[in-house]
Amino acid sequence: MASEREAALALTCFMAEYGWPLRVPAGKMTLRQLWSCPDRLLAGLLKLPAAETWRIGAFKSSFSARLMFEELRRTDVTLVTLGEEGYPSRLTEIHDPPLALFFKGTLERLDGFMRQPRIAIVGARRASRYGIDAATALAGGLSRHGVCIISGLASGIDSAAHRGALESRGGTIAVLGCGPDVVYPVSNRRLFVSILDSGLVISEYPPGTKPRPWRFPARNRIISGLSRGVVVVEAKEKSGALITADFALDQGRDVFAVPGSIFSELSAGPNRLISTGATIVTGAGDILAEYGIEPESTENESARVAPPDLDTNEKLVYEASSARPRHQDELAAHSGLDGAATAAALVSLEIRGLLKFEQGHGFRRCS
Amino acid sequence: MLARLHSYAVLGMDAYPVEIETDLSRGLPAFSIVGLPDAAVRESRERVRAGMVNSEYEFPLRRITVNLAPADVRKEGPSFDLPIALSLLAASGQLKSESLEVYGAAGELSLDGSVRRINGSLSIAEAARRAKCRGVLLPAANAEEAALIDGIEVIGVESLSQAVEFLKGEAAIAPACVDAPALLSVYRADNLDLADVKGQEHARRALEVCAAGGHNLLMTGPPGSGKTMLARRLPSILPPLDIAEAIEVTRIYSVAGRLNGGRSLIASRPFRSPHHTISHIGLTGGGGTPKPGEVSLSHLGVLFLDELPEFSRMALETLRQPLEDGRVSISRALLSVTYPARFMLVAAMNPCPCGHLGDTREPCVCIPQRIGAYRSRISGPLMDRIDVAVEVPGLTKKEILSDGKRESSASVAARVAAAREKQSERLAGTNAFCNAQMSPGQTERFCRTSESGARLLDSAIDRLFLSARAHHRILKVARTIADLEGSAGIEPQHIAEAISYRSMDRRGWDGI
Repeated sequence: MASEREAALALTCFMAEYGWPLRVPAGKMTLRQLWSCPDRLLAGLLKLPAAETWRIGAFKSSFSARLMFEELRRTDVTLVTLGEEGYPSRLTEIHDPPLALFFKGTLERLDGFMRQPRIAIVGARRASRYGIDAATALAGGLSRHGVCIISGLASGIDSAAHRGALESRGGTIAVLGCGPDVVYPVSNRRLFVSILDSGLVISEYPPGTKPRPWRFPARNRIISGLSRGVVVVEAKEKSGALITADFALDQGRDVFAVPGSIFSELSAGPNRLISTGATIVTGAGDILAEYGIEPESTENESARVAPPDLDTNEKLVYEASSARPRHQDELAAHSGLDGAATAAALVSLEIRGLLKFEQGHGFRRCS
Repeated sequence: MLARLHSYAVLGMDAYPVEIETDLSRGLPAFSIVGLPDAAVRESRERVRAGMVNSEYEFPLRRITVNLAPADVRKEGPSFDLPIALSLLAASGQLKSESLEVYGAAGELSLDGSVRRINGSLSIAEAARRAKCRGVLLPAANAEEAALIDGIEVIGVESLSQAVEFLKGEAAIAPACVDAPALLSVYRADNLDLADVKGQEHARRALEVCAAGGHNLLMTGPPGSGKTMLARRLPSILPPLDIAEAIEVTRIYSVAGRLNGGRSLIASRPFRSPHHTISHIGLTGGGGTPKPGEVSLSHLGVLFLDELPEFSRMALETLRQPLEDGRVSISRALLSVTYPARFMLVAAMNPCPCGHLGDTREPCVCIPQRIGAYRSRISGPLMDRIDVAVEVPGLTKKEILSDGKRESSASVAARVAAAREKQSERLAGTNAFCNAQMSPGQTERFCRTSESGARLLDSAIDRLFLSARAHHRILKVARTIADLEGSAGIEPQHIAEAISYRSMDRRGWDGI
């Protein structure tokens, strides 16, 4: 009969197909025993409606662990199941830990990230420029102090958080609501590939699983479960980010919120969190202080000193730049250089990765 | 009785000789025109009849046959009225003159016998000169433009009777003459000045670079940032048209029937800005006998396409041939014509569908996918032909209200002219005459850069996710920047500035 690992795989695949909110009863028996129960008993244990019992039989007859392992090899996806060595211990603390995690990356890297402090940054997909800049700056600031940034690879705030972490060469984990080999949204392909280079992509769904609306709230519990704290940057009332914050509270994680305008509906979420007791965040320092990490001497972005090996013009332009993108003309005016000299300095700063060009916005300082 | 007269018909940019043969014979009174006439030519029977009678000539009550030779080419338009009337008068013995052999004629008749203006008189005069005519009778309203052609007498006539008197030698009409250089300076009025544009240093500089090297330009920015304003001022910093160029442009406008306001010479560079609903035919030209379209009307000038992604895909794709070859060929069932179309393309677009991406005053409400879809409406091959792409940010209130001293068109134009001078020296003997037109081979030959420049370019392409096809364009633009500065070699700072004009290639991250 199947090993514990195969049983976990089978149950996970079944649940990925059947969907949330199926829950495995914890602690009473091993997964192997559970999986080998008669269909009707298993349906009862999984709290599956009686009319759906046939699905178990249908699944069991079509499922082959061997084929699934081959699929994992083919898609270069690593599997770690609950209880195995390498399974993140933080996740075992939560109410309903995923039975198995599929991830792209190595177990060593996962282990490395689990030894670092981890903070999740989540927020709206259709975020404002302010939110994007805030998420990028926070992720960058935290990364520089060895914090691993966790988010969900959605467009908007999530992408900005991953990018901020990558730009300051920090670790980042993307937790997906689809198979770990599925890029969603497609517009994030390049980001996805960059994360594979130096971070991890994790999912509780087997390779090839398509994104479905009900899978995203479920993955939010993993985002908060993996982290020590969750930062909500911009979120409307009733949004996925607030679901993550609720999970964080249930799981005993810290909740942080970035304040915003009282007139913007995107700030309604974080502002309400603040009024109900979330820690207010105005810079990476606020979060670092919470965990006793000593922030760099000045966390004020514009006051950060330029790297020493810049020439005079580059230094002037670098000092004129900020975390908020600025158009070339604005940088020229601030640095006092003419257009051609500014252009020359910008190109060399960009090549060194100190500044970043954002289409439609201008040049932004990389954190 | 048989009479012959020379006339000319316009086809494309050129005119070809048409011989008008008129025969009067016995039989029932009839008037037929043969030689593939179109409706307008057939109707000329009525105009000729009324025009002759109202000029107090006798309309012969005989069987009249008019043949337009060569008979196998379709003839169109009303410009045969005057020669048909003249040959009819000659055939009926009312006009006896040796001059009929050496003068050609073209013109539309009005029912009262006066002569109306026609299209393409410049090309007609040119064809008459080629046919070694002594002179050509043209409507007085067109005489000046036709007189731009040297070596032929252009006789402007007001009416049929005036033409007859001239041919009989009863009245003398002095050949029209025109002082083209004087007209050039009189008509060259451009009251738009670059000094009117506030802020936008980067875009102004880009405009200067484009003018200097003949590069095509794309401006991206929110509504009201001054894209159109900048584009309209481009002709003011381009080198002025010389006589030969002015005549070339005038000829297109003459053929298209667009010489308005009594002006006989187009003295300043054309600036055309068709609306984005224009069809591809409207852009390239077309019709039964194809007329010049917007690309030809902006020959040697500027074609400005505002809201570039809103143009139909077909319209944008048809721009590729003229952008590449400097001319446009239009083929129809019976004929094919080629019009010159060497223009500078200036395009403007919003950064996103709502127009406010990157705008400091109003937030953008577009989702990333829609922004991507909006931008991808401009195909790669078209983007390939645009050397300079800049972002034009929305102005702050301070900038709008500022009253600082800004550089005028005249001083920018001086730099541009100097840079063009350098290019024509360097490119002498090649078919290119400005940097933008260099072929890949010429780019390799003329755009050598220092070793540090080449290193900069390489690392920029690697690190800034520039597309490989950007390589040559950066070199060309860098060459222009070096020319503006008067530098013989391409230095790293020129390369760097050229890279800053590649905003559309820079897709650091997808999404947002």
